[in-house]
This record gives sequence, structure tokens and C-alpha cells, in this order.
Amino acid sequence: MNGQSYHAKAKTAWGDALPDWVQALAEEADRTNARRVAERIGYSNAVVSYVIANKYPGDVERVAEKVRGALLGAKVMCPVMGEMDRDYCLDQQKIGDTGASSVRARLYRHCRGLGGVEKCPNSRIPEGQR
Amino acid sequence: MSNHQTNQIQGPVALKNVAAFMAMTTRLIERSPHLPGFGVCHGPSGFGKTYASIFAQNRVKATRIEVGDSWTRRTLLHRVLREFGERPKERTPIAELAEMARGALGQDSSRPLIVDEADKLVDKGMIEILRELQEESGAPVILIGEEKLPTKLLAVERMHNRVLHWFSAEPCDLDDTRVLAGAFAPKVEIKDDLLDTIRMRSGGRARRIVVNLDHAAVVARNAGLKTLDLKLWGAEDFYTGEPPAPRHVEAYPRRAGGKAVA
Repeated sequence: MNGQSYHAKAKTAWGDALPDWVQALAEEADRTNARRVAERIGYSNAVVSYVIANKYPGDVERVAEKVRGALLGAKVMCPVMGEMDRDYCLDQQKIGDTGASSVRARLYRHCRGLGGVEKCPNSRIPEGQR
Repeated sequence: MSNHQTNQIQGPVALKNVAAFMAMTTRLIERSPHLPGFGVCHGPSGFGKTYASIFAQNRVKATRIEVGDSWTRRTLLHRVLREFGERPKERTPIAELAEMARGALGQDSSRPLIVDEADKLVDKGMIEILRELQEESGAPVILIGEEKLPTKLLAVERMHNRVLHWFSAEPCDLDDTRVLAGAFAPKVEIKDDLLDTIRMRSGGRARRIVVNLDHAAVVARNAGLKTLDLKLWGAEDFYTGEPPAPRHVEAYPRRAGGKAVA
């Protein structure tokens, strides 16, 4: 990482607008390393570098939510499982209907608003997408 | 849809079984590497085993499967893999599926696998596949089943000494019933005498207690009451889970004017 800490890089790239979650991500990457922190938020270390460099072309808000859940202790109220870490919540939304358990089926319906249940306000799944 | 009781309960209610299940899960995760990695939770239906496990699942980010009646070894492994976001091909050999599942579980051996309805696996002679998965991945596996599950497991020679922790779900006590009342009938204050009767008539089963509490909420609302005790409950029926008695309809005439059939 050519001598510079992730934190310094983030400061240069984001300037005064450095969000708390990018700071948390950079600090954690300095404390451990980019690969470890990437694993914790469920992305590749390339994404971690891109985000710190303020150049990630994908869904930045989703990365932000994952970081807030994994590193900043953000919680949401899941209608099925109760209080839940935000990053785990996002992971659950990604998993389709696997048929593995009734809990999975309920999560699937609540995340998408299927079968007469109201779509969970924590869902980031676009309308109509399965 | 009867949505009379505005669903304010979100997620499992913190009963004693929930705490005990969580304690077992933590013990399994933090065990020393040389110790066996199976936990077994058993108890009659309606004791809240599944709800306790959902609470723990959420806390430790466990993977969960509920064994279906139609499942084969292949379905079992497929479902486990799909919970890890993998999509194995339909024709992948079982040995390879097992290898993949072992790899997925072993990625983070602090995340347990929770297997609900585990007695079905023993009945089908499929428990061995889980034993292999547990031993090779090192991830804890928690089996949940009915009261006879431990006895069934004892019959499988290689299984029973691999269980680190046996946990029998307990029936609800009065404290638990109060907690349930707070969650499922929050608008009415139910006195202890009625709560305790509900608990006894429900056999301590959380599932039946909840049905009775829901009924209590309806009774109180219909009568415009804020508090309810045994006296005010009067002759209302308790939900005990007993099926209705047979009615001997053959004793009645089948047609108007017809004779009763003996």
C-alpha cells in the first residue's frame, strides 16, 4: 500500500466529506488488513480499496449499510427474527427461497412483501424483484 | 385475516428456554478443539424449541435447515449449500456435494449449523452424514427434535458420545407465562391466578399458552375489561390441545321421518 495508511488515503480521496463509515472501514483495514475487513463485510478487497479511494462504481449505499452493520453495530428490527445486525439483514435479503427451513420462507416473504405480508421497511430489494 | 391484535411482537420472546439455548450455543462455539461439537435440544412439541433456536440463530449468524419428510441425502446437502448462497448442479455426485458442504461450513467454524426436526434424519438413517460434516468442518451442529431424540441418537453408536451438551427444553413457568402475556396480550392485565391456570391447562406449552392468551385478549376486549382474572374468565374454554370428542352421528336419523340406524 505504498507506505500510506488506508485512513490517510480515505482522507485524501474524500476530503472534508469523509463519512463516518468510510473512516471506520479505513481504520479497520489499517488495524487488520484489507482482505480481513473485506471478508467481514462480505465484499472483495478490491471493493474496499475502491470505496476508500471514493471510486466505487457500484451500489455505495449498500456497502455503507454493510459497514454500519458489521463495524458500527447498526441494528434493525426484523419482523421474523427480532433485533438483527444490519449487515446480516442485508445478507438474508440476498438469499433466495432455498427451501431449507420455514424461517427462510418467512424471511423470503417479508423481505419481498409476498403472500399477503407487508414488505419490510428494511428491505433494499427493488419492487417486483425476486 | 384476523389482524385484531396488531402484531407488535417482533421476533422470539425471551423465555428461559431461549436463554438456555443461547448458553448451549455459546458453549459449543467456544469449546476447545478437542471436544465433540454436537449439541442436542429436545422436548415435546410446543415448548418453544424452534423459537429459542431462531433467537440463537440470529445472534450467532447460524445456518438453519428444517428436515423435510421427503428429503434425501441429496436434498439435505443441496439445502445446506443453498443457504450458503451456492447453487450446486442437479447432477453433482453426493460425495462431491458433501465435500462442498464441508468446505462451506468450515469457512467460519464459529457459525453453527442448526438442524430442526432432526429425528427425521435418524429415522431415515441419514444422521451419519451430519456426523461427517461436523467432524470434518469443525463447525458446531445443533440438533433439535422431539422428546425421544436422545434415545434415538443413543441407538447410533457413533453419535452418542459426540454430543457435548444435552439440553432438554422445559415447560413454561409462571414467569415465562407473564412474559408471554406481556408480548401477546399487552392491552389487558391478566392476574396471576388466571395466568397460572392457563399455564397448567396448556401443559406448560408456550404454543398453547399463546393461543389462550390471544383468547383472553379477545374476551377482555369484548367485555370492555382492562384486567382479567379467573373469576371474570368464568366458564370460557381453555385451549388444551385436546381434539373434540366423537359425536356418534350414526345415532341420529339420516332422513326426515327415517328410522334411527342402530
